[in-house]
Amino acid sequence: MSALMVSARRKLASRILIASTAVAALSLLGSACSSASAPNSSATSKATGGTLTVAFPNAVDALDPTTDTTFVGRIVFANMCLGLYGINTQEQVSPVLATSMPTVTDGGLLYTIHLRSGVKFNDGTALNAQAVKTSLDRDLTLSTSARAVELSAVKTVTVVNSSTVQIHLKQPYSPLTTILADRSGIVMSPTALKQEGSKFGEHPVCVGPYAFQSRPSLNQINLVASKDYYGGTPKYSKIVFTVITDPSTCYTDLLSGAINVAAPGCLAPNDYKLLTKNSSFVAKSLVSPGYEGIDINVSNGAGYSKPATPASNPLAKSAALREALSLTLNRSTINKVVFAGVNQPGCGPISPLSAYYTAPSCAGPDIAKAKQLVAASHVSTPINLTLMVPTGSINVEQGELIAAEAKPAGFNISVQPTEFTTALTDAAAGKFQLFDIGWSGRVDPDQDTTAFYTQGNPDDYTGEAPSSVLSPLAKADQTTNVAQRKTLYAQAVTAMQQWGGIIYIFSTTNQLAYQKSDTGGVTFTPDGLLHFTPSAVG
Amino acid sequence: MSLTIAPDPAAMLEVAARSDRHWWRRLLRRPPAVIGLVGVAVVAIAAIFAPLLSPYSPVAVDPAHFLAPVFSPGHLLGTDELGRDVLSRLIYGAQPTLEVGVVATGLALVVGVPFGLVSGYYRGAADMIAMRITDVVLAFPYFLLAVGFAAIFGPSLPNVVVALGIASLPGFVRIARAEAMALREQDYVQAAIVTGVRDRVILFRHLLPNMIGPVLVQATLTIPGAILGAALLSFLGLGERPPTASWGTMLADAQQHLFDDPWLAIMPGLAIFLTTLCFNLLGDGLRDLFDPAMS
Amino acid sequence: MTVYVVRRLGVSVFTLVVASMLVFLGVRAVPGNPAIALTGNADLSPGAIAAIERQYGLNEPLPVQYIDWLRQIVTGHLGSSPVTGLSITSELAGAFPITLELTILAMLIGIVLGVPAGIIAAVRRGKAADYAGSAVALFGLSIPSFWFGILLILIFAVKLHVLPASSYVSFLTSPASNLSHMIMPAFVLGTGVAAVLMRQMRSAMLEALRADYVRTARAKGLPELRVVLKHALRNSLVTVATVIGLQIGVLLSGVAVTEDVFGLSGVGNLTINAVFQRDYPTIQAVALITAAAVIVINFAMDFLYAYLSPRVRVEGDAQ
Repeated sequence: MSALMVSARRKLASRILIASTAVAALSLLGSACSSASAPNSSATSKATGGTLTVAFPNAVDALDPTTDTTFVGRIVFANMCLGLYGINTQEQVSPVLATSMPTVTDGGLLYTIHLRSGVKFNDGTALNAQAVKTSLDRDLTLSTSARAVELSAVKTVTVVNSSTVQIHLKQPYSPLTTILADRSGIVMSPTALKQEGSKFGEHPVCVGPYAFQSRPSLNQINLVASKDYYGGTPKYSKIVFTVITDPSTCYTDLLSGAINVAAPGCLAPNDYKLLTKNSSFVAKSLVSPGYEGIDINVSNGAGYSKPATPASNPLAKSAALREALSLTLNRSTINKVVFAGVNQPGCGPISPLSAYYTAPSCAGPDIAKAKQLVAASHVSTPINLTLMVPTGSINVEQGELIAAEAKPAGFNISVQPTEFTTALTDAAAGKFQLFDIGWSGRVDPDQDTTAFYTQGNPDDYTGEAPSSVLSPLAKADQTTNVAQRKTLYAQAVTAMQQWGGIIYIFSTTNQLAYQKSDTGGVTFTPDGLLHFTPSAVG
Repeated sequence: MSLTIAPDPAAMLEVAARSDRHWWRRLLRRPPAVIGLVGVAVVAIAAIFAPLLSPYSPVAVDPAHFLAPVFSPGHLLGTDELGRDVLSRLIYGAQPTLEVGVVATGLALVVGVPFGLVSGYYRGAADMIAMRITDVVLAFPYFLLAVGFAAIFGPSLPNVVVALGIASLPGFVRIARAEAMALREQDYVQAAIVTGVRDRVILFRHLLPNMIGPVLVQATLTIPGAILGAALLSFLGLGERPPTASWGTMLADAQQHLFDDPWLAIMPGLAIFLTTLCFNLLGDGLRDLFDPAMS
Repeated sequence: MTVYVVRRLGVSVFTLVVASMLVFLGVRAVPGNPAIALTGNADLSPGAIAAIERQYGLNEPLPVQYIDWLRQIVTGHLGSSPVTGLSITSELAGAFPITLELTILAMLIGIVLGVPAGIIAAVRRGKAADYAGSAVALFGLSIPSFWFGILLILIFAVKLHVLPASSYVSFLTSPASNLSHMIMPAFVLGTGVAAVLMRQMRSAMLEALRADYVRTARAKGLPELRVVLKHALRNSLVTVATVIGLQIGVLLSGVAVTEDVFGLSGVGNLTINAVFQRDYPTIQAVALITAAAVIVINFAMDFLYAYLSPRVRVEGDAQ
């Protein structure tokens, strides 16, 4: 359970300096990977450039698309394990190994996907429909699969001909295409799967501009330019991914040239800010699909696995008090002071870049109105509350600032720093009052909403939302019409605000920085992934 | 756990016998010791009178003036990442610092000295037991003790104090034991034993007062070790909980502003450094007083 | 001497056994159900708790549990971390070389700086060199290692761009790169060791130079340098042995924080993470291994000390 949750709720802002524990928790999930080098000798260099060293904030799981639960794992896969679809720079799903978007028929129950021709895996074998079926079947059935949940709507996968595959669903599920743009859509070499079985992650072979070479330690992954790639000559002969858990180390290593690229999460916001002023570096920030907010324990009093039970804190009983707390927040101040202004203040779970985004109302700060609401609630002040934050200076500072802003309205909030994975476990178990936490976000809004408001889901900390929230969300899953879905999500977000179980603070952003001399080699997409030339996404 | 190794007990004994009631006057004739004494006094005054001396509350967040540089109007040493006044936080930070240093050392002294006294006087089984306990304590570095307490009871300042106190025990046991062993052979003690004076009287009337000097030196040199240890543990997040101002946590928070505001990291570190330095100067001065051969 | 060594060995084994009991009982002292403590999961069903109790033998009497636990550890089965699901042995195997290298380098730097400084200060007692050396040692003794580390990063990595701030490169992969990464953290730790060594060395040398046989040697007209060097060698070894024995605990504590400052994923970092994650089996393993290392090092130092210092041999045997 805990592994899934870690994957599910990843807090970008928790890349922190001192107790980089979240980092270690994630990092250690996958050391099943041994250090042997790939037997794949065919993937030799034919590239023009040299070695590019890329620093991650935390270590990757086993490099197995079926079991991986880490964000950094996705960055590696983006370059050596392409999927049927990908997310482009406009935060849209676009075909990669598929030739076009899937044809959806049978009232949303049948997805037909045509494959690109002439594509080879990095072991030289050809990509075909059977390979897609083999990969998807593995995602669905492997006991350690982290994909099975997101593919739970899938009934069967069938091969129509060598370049066409069909996915049959149990019920209509419109987020499927977006899910196939993540790790579920990755096609693994059937030859390698047969050879390696569950140890595929030790020598992964997929389609990609770069091929897995070796993993000398948990903290280092080496890729080399692929000679089998369909999409052009790789720019770099070698990509080295290395783990730097400490943001100030990331910054100094970038300055000293020990690393070429700092991947999202590696740099602290202040240091990123300094790099934007440094003419030798390119520093980019993109709004991500993720958000950050305060989860309030409303009806998760007994833990997610139990039926919804009212929590005992004063905010659980009163939507007006939750609104009052929300009204005390000065989002732009928090952003400026704690995050060096890199985030985008916001009041809803859907990214402003998304096609499904409708700007939600975003009131406040309004201390006078907050005071009125508190007074009208007849709860005696100060209202004592505990705000759980993941350990790390940035998170604690954010908590302190929230506490300071809420104080004039009668809230007395004490900040309780808790190690990241422990905080997630406690939150799922309902052992918290307020929890400041983020979600890295997905391109389909369903994955940013439903699970967080449905009792019984380990990602849902706040409890069971009323049907005014859940029913438009459920309807949105049943339709593929973008305009209809957009209206439904706007309804749902308004209802979320009225209910107030999660107070949204920011749309989070991803920061990337690299030496100016490396310009042109990196494509940065809003999902935080880096694609090294030749990129498969536009 | 003290960074300093106990002075040679034999020499100390000689000194204890010689020491007069005006040792502190002789101490004041040593400039380094005086510097140390003054420094310690300054820190003590800051800790005791923090509410009077601080221009601001150490936890008052002021987002409008965050990361103000040193010598800003109204903020002599600037403000931190949440706009809290750095000078006020430094002054308040003296409280947990001294508290940990003194309480941990006191704890070790109060438990360790009687232990060492009894084991050195009776020897035999009592000595065996005391030494084996010391061995076991020595096997656990203070970091490990603090980690263990934090793991069992959750991170807190009292845990840090207890961990450092336990780790400082062996030093006091050893000093008191060595002193007791040596003093026991003195004529007047032997005479008291022969004439049937009760053990309790011998231990507390004859032995204890005569080892005050070496114990005082050990205490003065244990305090800076405990202060450093506490700062280290706070820095790692095993000590005080925010928003309490302590030099260790200030330094930890400052790490993310190492490059845009290095003063935030330099100042609390300097406070820890100077405080430990002053305690060490004072301790060295005291030791020189009791053991001039080593100066 | 043999008697002394055997005695010390017996004492070390005894200490190790008691220390292991404390480590074992420590986790049992965690408030609440030990099954919850061992798994770090506060949200267990009664069935899951029963399964864990069976797996860890928690229903057995404590002595039986202790013996089982000890047997597993002796056979190298440290178990797996409930947080990461990984084998603790493999996690330690990854972290240990970093910590070991850091500790050894720090010791070396400490010895290279501290021993000669102490000898010079003693020989030049009351002269400028003595005062300067003693003052520097006092600074080294008082400076917080983690702050010193931060200052070095600010100076060498940020201002001068001379050295990389950190991240570990294996010595086997690239010795030059490894050393350039390790030099700052090792120096930070080494200065603390050097300060203590210098002060001890100075005292030991002063005492030695006062001894009758040295005076005799001098009276005989032996060259001053020869007299000093002769005593310096033995004294320095004895002092180093004493200081290492006494300082290993402080040094290991310093290693943990230095790893943190320089972003090295050694045993110290592993331990701190384990604390925050309530990963008790990992904490247990680290605590036991560290205690064992301290005990073994102390025994080795006792042995060395006895070998070098005839007085101890006699006293030890007479005890």
